[in-house]
Amino acid sequence: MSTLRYLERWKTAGAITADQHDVLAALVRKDRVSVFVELNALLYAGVVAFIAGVGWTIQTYFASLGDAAILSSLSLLFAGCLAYCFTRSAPYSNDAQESSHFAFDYVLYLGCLSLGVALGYLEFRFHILKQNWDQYLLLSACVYFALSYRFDNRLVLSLGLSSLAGWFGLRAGVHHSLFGPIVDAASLRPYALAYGSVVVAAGVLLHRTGIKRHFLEAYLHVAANVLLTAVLSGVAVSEHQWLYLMVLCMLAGLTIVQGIRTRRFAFVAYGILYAYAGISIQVLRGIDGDTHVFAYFTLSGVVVIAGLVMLARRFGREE
Amino acid sequence: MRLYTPEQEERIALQALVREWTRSKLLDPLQLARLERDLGTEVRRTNAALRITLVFFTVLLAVASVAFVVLVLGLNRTRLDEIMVSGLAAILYLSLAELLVRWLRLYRFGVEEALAVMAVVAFGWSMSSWLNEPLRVSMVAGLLVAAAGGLWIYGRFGFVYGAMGSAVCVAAIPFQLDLSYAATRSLAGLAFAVVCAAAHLMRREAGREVRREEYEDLRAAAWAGLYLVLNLQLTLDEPGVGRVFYWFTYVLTWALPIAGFWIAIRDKDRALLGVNLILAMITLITHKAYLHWPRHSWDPMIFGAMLAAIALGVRRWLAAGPGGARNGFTPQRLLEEDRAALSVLRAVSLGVQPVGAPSPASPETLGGGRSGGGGAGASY
Repeated sequence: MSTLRYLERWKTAGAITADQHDVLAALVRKDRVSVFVELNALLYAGVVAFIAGVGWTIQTYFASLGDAAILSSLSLLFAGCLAYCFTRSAPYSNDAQESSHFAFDYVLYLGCLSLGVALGYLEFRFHILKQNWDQYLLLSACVYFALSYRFDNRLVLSLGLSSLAGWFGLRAGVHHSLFGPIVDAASLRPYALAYGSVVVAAGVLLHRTGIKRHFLEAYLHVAANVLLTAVLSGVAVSEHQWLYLMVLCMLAGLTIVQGIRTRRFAFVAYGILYAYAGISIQVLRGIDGDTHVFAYFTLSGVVVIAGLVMLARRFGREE
Repeated sequence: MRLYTPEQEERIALQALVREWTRSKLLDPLQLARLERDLGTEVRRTNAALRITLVFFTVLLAVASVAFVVLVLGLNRTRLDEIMVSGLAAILYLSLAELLVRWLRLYRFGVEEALAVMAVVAFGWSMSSWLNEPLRVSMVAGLLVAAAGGLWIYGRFGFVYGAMGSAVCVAAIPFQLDLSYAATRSLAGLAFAVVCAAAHLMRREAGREVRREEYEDLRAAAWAGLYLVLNLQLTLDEPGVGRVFYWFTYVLTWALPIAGFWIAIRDKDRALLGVNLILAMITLITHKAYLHWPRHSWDPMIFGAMLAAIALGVRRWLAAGPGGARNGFTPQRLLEEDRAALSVLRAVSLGVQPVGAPSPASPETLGGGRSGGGGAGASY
């Protein structure tokens, strides 16, 4: 039976109203087709390409263009974008807000990216912060976070999160003032753990205070992957493998439980994959010979699949 | 031939629609419960995250178990052993996939999908090992078997990506032969064109909505394949082809997206529309290389501004139509799945940012920015 016939039958049986029938039948017949996603993708690609071109042009012609022309253009672009957003946005709200205009989110994104280029150029030419030049990242991250919350923009939130990650990494790499210099994966680990903890704490705190609750998932995806990768690297290369393995299992368990509880199954997948990787690394250390290695993967594969099937049947029904 | 009845597949597809309508607040949860009772099927399904995880572990298990058996039995890597092991593994994987669907009634559960695809790969490997001399014949035989296998799992399980993989395998055959560059590309393009035409015709004849959607996806994938093998600027080196073929493919890089848009708009096929949007962008990016024109640093700016202008112009034009739509196309978000698609775009933006973080201000290091650390800039 076709979808239209089902709709007709449900209308006759009183399961749906006549109005609902008309709306749904129009969708099924494709009387209305949305190109919302396609237009958004086009606009996003346009902004990204534009700013990449700006960066490339400045990089190639900064000597002939001159500092004043470059900085004033970038400042004007940033100011123009901000002015557009402030004049056309609705008042701030803690809840999710629909953008006032189709291009609104992308104008703000363009402005933020132009700020990034301007700050980079400023330091490159004038060395204002000298050895502390990485503080630009912290500054830009703060600006991005503020703007993303003000205008409810998750593109800019992503920018803020990656800028903060860059600050943690560069702070370590350039100044090694927090946990010592980065010379290998092990020395990067504390910075990754610190970053992941800060992100998860900030996300949870803001969620609890009721500020932009819908941003929480973005924080948690980043934090879960960074924290689990950092701890997994501890299992792989640290002297305290068992300690890291215990922490990994606890973190993965927490991720899985919370993922099931909130029905966010991507987190369940993260937990399973990272925990399996950590346990496998540790088990394979004590095994020699290809036969034993493949026996391990066969047995563990059966166990994990059986567990996953049970999990899927009990909790992870189709969405 | 298919393991699921058309009614089952229709109900499953409709279940997904009903849930989407409920998420989009076109139905209420009570109505959802009532309609789902009407659409009950006995198949077992799971969500995308667990499905992908199950695919990963099933592939791991399938490979590890075969390697384990090979080692335990002390088989050497002789040709006969390879033929036997890969052939038997293929039979085992396919049988298991069938049994899982028949007994446990799995539907897009990850396990049966991975097993079926692994079976096709193993069959191809077995055939390739059997005819291992000369190498070209061996490769062609492997690809032919894999192509047949891909079609088989599409017919049997309904995996559209099986049919897509089948088209890719057929198109890869000319690359194994000692043909000229132009002949290789032409034959590969022909393979995709035939698949595209077949899918197009079958879509037109299809009586059921689920089949029509399958053929639409297959048509879009084959269309993309056709374009990708014929855009000669997507190869690493300067293609060594004659002028006629070169300019013919240049014309095609423009003609295919235009024709694709026309078909997509006529059929209201969003898969084909999305594919042609990407192809049109590739054409715009590669056309200067085709014409051997010099690249300029401001090209991306113009390109970006043009994309933004097109997006804004099309949106405005559609919105100005009667009822905010033209020819049925509207720039408005109709369903919640569009919001989910935007979430994916935002997730992508986390990893892909055009301008990197400020780097040490050394005038000697002229870098073009990097991904991540979004914001303050490239090194100049």
